[in-house]
Amino acid sequence: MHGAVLSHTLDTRLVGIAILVYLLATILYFVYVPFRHRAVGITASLVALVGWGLVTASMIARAVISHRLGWGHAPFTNLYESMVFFAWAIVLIYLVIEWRYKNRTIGAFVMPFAFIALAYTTIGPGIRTQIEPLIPALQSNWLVAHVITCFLGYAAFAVSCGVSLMYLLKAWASERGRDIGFLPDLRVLDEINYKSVVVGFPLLTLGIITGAAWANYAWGSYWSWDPKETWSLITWLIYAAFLHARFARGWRGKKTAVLSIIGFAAVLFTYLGVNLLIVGLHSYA
Amino acid sequence: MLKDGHGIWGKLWRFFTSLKLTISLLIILAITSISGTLILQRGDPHQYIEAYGEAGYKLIKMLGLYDVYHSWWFLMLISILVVNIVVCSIDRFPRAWRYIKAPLRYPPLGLLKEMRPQETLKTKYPLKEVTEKVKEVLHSKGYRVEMLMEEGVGRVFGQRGVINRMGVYVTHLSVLTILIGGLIGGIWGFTGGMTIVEGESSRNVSIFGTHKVITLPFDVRCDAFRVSYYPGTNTPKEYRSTITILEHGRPVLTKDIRVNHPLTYRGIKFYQASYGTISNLEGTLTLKVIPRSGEGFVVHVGAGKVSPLKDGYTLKLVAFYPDLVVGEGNQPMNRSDQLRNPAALLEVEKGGRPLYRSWVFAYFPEVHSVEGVPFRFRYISFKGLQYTGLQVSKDPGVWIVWLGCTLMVVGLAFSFFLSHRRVWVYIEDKGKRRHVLVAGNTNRSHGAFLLHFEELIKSLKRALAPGKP
Repeated sequence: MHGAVLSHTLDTRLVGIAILVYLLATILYFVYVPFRHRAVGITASLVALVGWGLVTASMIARAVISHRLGWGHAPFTNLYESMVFFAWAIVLIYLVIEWRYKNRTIGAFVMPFAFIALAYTTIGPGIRTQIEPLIPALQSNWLVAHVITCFLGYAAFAVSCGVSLMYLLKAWASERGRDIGFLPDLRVLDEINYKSVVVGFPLLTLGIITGAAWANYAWGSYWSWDPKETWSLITWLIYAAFLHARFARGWRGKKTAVLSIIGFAAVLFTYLGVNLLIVGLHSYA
Repeated sequence: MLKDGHGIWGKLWRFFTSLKLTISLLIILAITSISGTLILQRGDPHQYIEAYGEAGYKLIKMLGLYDVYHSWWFLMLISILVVNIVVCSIDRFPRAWRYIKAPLRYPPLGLLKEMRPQETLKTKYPLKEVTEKVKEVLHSKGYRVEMLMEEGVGRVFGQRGVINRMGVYVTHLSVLTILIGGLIGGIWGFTGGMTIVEGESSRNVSIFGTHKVITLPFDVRCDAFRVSYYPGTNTPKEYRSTITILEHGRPVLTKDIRVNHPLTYRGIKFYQASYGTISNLEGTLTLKVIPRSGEGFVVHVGAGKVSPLKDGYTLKLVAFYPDLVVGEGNQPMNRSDQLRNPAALLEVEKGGRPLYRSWVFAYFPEVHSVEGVPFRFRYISFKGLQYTGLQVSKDPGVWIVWLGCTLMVVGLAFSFFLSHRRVWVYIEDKGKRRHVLVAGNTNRSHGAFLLHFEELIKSLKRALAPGKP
């Protein structure tokens, strides 16, 4: 049937190429970090940009194909599509930060997340790459707003997790009297960690609100303590604690870095863990 | 004041204004919330006993773990958080409000000279003109500007983004608003379900999680229910119920409801939730009949009824299963009321005497298709009486929740995407020239403000450069 015909459409082939391009970008960032060769750094950025362009093209192609099939829906409706969007959003947010802070070393700690997310679309359990028509519950504009805000937020949290790992690594070394010179300054890492959470938190909030609005239209209840909802709230509470700790109690550095990493672990559990381990309303994505 | 008190009230006040408490509560709420995603919520006692044993069930019951989010200790944690938010706001709001009501417009020169960033410019324009020009430049940069002329001194104060100071209070107010909305919904609202067979009406709603039934003040009739599929697939495209509301038996409103498109009537919402086919009572099976010789033809037969075939043979529909599975003891049974695996047990008779029985399966046409009998059958369709399952809910607090959500987005935007920037300018007559002292301050995003301040100084230099009209 349709599935067999569509399993190797243009969009999945583009993602296949993009996986390799993301891998190449990851390797280039890894090479750039210790050697600081300017040409390598620029190449890494360009390769990342090309990969991001390929993923963009893939999402457009997928929307067009689904439209031609008469199902016409935005490509944000199942695990595969959300994962591709996640990989897209991570690189987008990373490239903006690279441009704003003129620092490429962060790429070595963020690009792997994007690569793993994209590679997961081909090896992850239970991922269907076929373009499928939308079941009635998913036919909602709230869904599109929900997925876009959630995953842009998740991507910002991925960046904050990446720089927090860098922070802990550098702090751990410096406590032992060694300086990892090629990593950015601790102050810069701390700042980017905070800035990413400041971007991610309102997006996650919007994601939860649009999800609640959708649930209210589809199921007649904006909040039903479904495991996915609860885990999104847990994630929200962790980042809320992060912001209060940082704003009002002046937590800096290691403590907030650890909170960031715990927060991102909660993000991953909300996104994947709940689906793999717990059954609930979100069982389709 | 209360907060300085040494007594019990002073201690309590300091406990509740502490941000350590806030952070601890957020973390404790996050950790305890996990339990409700791991343990079945609102299950039957036997389910817990099966999974955790008698002792486990006792513990679960004692701690309210069968309904974590409504347990006394969870509600207590939320209540403490509410008190924490309220007390913190009362404690801190007046100071923040002063930025709006009584900003520090013209601080003493000594204080100004200690501020960073700071810059001093020199110009030959007369005092009044310089002050006006400075005011204009600040205004063009989006500042709300005030000025003051004194003897030999001109002063300008500009600020923007002062609303940022309110962001945190708006956000905290939004949390309280959402909780109030949720509370109102919990007290005066309900969520339940009703099933209505096509053509019939009902006013009873079974409340979820209880054995309670609410009687609506009007009747709900299901005129029709339809499922449509994407062409060439088994994926449902749409579930649609035509619903009529009857007041005192008179129809007042007819509307189609679909998933994501509920119907609201007198504050009560009706959502398309489920459906099914009632197979045993009514419905018509359509079959293709393949006789041993001659042309095939189509026959319709009702449940439990008899239809003529030809040559004096008749066909009886003994039983119909919309979703057949083989149960215990090899007994055929229905897994659901939906047409997922339709099957029928037929009996061919002649002169009122049964000759043979045959099964017909919609998705396995070759099974039981025995040769050598007068007639073989192929399933075409079954048109049964369907019922629609509606979720019914009333939530008078929902608009308060949406108001709270809006406030939260606004509050977060104020807090995170604005900063309160202030610029003070002190212009002093120094003989032939005027010295222009510019000082700035921001409450967040210092890096960005430094760049902005540099830009501002450039603009001021341009405006105060000699030779300009």
